[in-house]
Amino acid sequence: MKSGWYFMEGKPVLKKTISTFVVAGVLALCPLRSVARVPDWLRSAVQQPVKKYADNVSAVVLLSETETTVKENGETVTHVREVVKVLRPDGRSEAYQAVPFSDEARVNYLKGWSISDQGKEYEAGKNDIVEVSAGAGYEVYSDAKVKVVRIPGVDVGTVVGVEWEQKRTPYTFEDQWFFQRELPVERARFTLHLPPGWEYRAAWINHTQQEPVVQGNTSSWEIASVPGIEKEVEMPHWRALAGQLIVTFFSEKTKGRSYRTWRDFGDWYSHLIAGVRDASPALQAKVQELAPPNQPSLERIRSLARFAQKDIRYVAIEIGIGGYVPHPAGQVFSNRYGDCKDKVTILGSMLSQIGVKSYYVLVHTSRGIYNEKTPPTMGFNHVVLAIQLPEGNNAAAMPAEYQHAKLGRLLIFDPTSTVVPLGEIPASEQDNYGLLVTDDGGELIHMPLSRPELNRITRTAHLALQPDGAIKGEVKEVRTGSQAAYGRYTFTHQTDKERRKILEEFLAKMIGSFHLDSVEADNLDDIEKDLVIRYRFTADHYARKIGQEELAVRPRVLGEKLGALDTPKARQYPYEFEAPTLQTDMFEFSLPEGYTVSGLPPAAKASFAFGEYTSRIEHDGQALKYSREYKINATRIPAERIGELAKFFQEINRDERNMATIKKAN
Amino acid sequence: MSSLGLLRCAVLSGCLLLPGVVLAQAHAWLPVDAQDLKMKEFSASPGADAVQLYYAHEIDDVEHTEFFYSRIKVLTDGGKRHANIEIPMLEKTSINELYARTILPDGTIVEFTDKPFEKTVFKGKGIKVRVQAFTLPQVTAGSIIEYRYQLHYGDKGLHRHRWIVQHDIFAVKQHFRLRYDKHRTVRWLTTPGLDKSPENNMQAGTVQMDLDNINAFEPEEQMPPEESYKLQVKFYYTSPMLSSPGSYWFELGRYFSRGIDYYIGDHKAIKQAAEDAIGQETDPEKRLRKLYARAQEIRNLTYERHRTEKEQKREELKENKNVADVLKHGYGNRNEITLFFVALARAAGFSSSVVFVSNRESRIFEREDLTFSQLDAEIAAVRLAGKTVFLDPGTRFCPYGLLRWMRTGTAAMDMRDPGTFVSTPGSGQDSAVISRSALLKLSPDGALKGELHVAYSGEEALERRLTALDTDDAGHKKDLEDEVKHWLPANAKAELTASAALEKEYEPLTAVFEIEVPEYASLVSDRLLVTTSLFQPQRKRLLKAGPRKYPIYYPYAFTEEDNITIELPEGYAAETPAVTQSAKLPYAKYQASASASGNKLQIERTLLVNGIFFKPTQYDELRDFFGKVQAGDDSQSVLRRGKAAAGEKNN
Repeated sequence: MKSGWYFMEGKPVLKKTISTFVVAGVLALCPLRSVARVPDWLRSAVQQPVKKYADNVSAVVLLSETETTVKENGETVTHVREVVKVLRPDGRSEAYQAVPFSDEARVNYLKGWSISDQGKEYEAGKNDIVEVSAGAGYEVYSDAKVKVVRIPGVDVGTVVGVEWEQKRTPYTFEDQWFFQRELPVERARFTLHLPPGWEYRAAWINHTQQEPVVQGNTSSWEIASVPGIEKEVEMPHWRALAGQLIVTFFSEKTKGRSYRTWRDFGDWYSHLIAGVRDASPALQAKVQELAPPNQPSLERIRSLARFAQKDIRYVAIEIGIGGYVPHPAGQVFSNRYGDCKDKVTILGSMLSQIGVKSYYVLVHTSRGIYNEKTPPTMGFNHVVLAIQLPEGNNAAAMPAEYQHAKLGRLLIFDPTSTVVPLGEIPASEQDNYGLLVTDDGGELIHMPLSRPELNRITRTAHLALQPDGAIKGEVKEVRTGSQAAYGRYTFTHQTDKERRKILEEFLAKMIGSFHLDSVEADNLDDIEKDLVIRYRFTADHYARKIGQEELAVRPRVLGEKLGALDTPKARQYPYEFEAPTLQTDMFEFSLPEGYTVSGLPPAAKASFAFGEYTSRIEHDGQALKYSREYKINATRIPAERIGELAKFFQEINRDERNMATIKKAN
Repeated sequence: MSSLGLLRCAVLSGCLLLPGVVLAQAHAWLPVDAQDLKMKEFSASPGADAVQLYYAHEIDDVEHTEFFYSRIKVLTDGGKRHANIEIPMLEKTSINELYARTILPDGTIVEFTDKPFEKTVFKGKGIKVRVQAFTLPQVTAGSIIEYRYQLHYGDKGLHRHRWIVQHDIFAVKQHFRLRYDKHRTVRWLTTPGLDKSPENNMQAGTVQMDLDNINAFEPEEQMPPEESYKLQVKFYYTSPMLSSPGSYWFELGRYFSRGIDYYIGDHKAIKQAAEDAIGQETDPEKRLRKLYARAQEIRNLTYERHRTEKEQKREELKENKNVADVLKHGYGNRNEITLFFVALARAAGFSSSVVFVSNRESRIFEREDLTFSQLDAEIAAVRLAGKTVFLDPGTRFCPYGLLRWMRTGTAAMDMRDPGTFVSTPGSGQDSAVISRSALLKLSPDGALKGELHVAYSGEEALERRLTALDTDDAGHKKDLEDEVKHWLPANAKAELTASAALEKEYEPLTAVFEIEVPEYASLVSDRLLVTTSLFQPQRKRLLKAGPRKYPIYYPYAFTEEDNITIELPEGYAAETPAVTQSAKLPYAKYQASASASGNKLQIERTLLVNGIFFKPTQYDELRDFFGKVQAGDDSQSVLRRGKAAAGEKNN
């Protein structure tokens, strides 16, 4: 309730008083509806008894009903009704219901109601609906938008109802029914009406197959008591866990716009991109300049790959089908900018100029959404390139290589990443599935997983320990593979001050009061080489006094390998590591004069199939030497083996907190 | 700045020393200096990814237009981000004369020939916010990118304006101009630290300013609200009657003061309510406390879910036209409850008034900034025993005598004396206390397990009580557990077993946890090393070395008191309790000590900081202080297996 004051004829009156008169006048002329027009389907949903849920469940979906009607011309109308009961204060956000739309998927109407636990009924009006720009946020422009309705009266105990209808003129004929989400769902129903002569194929993901109830050309599926997807640390993407039904529908009239197999999907995409790789004369000239014929073929490929990576600026402009169709290679070259598919397109075009074939690979940057069982379905968010290594090329095997039965050695390359060189794959794309689009259509391929030894951090430190507990010294960090990419991602495009700040934040987690004396980075821009970071620092009070003549020092000065694990609850989902890695620390502390080692912590050792951790500490009279090795072999640990991971982390935690003691010799 | 940097600036100054008026009229591209094309790095800003060679912002309140010009040298690949441009536009605004181009390092010019994309960022409730977006072609490290455009407001209203002087990259040369409406009085306010003032040409009706070499704005951690430090010039139109800050604050204060008096009025029902609340009490302070309690009995709608006017109507929440309505309806928002309390106090014979306060959470009050909404909250002032007591009855759970932290130590205007500013009292370290005590058992493998009791007092309790209003018991439990886990070392467990006084604002909010900290003590041969402080620091400490530019700022003064008892593992005895550590400044104090008694190790720790705002010159001593705090927190007590206890106490 706002209050404010205006002056009216010299006397202050409440603003509300004025508005009351105005509103009253308007009401007299145009009476408002006295009762919200709550539909019967919502009223009846309110009557159903609500089960008991766990304390952390903020709301429950009592009913989720999706009905898709496909017209003869392929136009699709989807009608959705949802009923949500708010159980906790956090669930009040259910007052906001959003419907994405674009020029190809228009919202016919969007309505919302609520019924409070006291039975008061509310209805959202036109003023409760707004449109906001959507998109992922990185685009210069995207035509994706969202209509958001704020439903009034929503509080704990309220039942919220929302209904909308959307008319789509889809590029391909499929519906993705996500019946599982963060909130539990009591009852979900999907109904499909097809024109006579059409058929469909239904595929289930993360759920056992259900048979539909069929009546004429209408098929419907119903699911009950679907648990919500709870948040767990380092869990897979929710789409990799959620129960879904993918329904693809077919007609003779719409051939080429729906697919039974990945091969069909590849065909569809091949047609979509036909001609975009045609090179302009300027682009052809650039290829000659960058990759003269006298160079070895792999060097030529590398030069062109580097150009697409570095000299084509990443800019996304996505309008309608433009989200899938690249800009012509000549235009991308002329602008020197483009998004992932544009970069793949220009590189593919340039490679074809030197006689090297290459293929689009559609992927999702979150591992697990696509796997070997996934039926053909839209939902990729990224494109990379598979480069066919020329026959007779005897280049050594590379981590990014995929051996194809027909096409031979394919090198998976992502020109969008500016920090991963040719021959390697960004971590999120490793052990992931992508659609390889070939002349024969398409096929889902399992992209290679790198070995730990190729993704290394080797950290060495020489530190001088002072009698007052201070340490001073230098650290050298050598990074390779995905760890080099991560380091470059963090450090490249930063000013000197920003780099210092990043490193200061890193050190502050482990060392208290310190001064960073210098920071240097070698090969930041030369992504073919190892990334080397050197820094020097001084830390007061690092070693702690014990009594008068003894110091306690934590030998693990830098780097935290310990991962977070919320152990109190039983784990439901797998735990994910980004990529295999091997990380080695070797820290040497020179002792203050007259001091000798008085106590050492035990060595650490933990060995499991997914990873290993070992450490040891020793001394030679003048120096204390700590070394450890942390190795991760897998990207995913199943929930049933989380106990092993907990033991692994426990051993790391103990080692990272361990202390050694040194004492002044008598 | 290095000599090279100065040389660069001199060259640029020579090149760009064009009168702003000429530029504004011509709206043409400036000549390109060959030196700028050759530039590889900018020594005044080492490692910078880009530098703003020229920036112009011209506002015309006669023609109702705005003109922008930006020329940026891209120095690295990272600087290419400046090639993506977004121009925000309100409903009626249109964009004219948009030109943009890329100048390649060899001097080749690539014009931007496309049309910008128009994004509707928000549409609804009669508002439409759009953005014109475009990107420049062929941008490489070494390129110069530039664009200029003119905005037409689409109305003839006089808006508040500001010149943004400090950007996220170094600005070599800048030109600003405002052509104002000569029929109105224009005033401006420059951010402290900007050593140049705009020049007013009254005959031409223009204000303009040219600036050289303004550093990029680089915020620092724990600085006061950034808005108050980023260099800018704000403009206001004032009426002849309100031409000076003094008259502005006085006239508006008087205006609101009359409104308040009207709202409070003189109501029999209020007198009766005051009498009922006070009963037979005669002690003035106790009488006042009873009135305060009565005011806080009113249902406070500010802390309930937001309701639109329609929803208020549907839920039969009637408008409070005066304090009698607040009493009658039994509900009100925080300001209405404050006014109701002032009315009760007046009715009981207290001299009381409403005080408008500036919130220091998002900005620091500036008297010269003629924006009355800076005083955006209301509290009460009551004269009691010759002193003024500031009270905050409109904040739920705020006990008598406490103000919510963002309303402490900040500028305020007592509506009894409009136009005059006072400062609300600052809160001392006793006003925000966290006391932690624990009885824990250490196992031979170094794990610590037991019960932790936490008591939050003053601001610490108030903030948590207000947060709890947005959730339920399960949410409150999770919030408290998450907080304790955040204090404890990695992978520790904490489970809330009891919580009390969540709604008893005059008692500390207490919580009891079962905690488990694996690998807390470190095993070294036959000894266990135990760290003094079980808890991580509450507020990020000032540990970074180097010069400090901006003041250091804490939301409120605070105290932490810890008393931890650790039962030693069987067969172990304390060999060397940690040496007592202490540090002291005039406004901060720290002490940590450990002592052994039988099979128990007792650790006591106190940290207090009695201040919120420290000058950059105090940074070193604060850093040194927190360095000592950390040394004390990390100090070690030694336990030995199979050895008799050492000295009972080591101080």
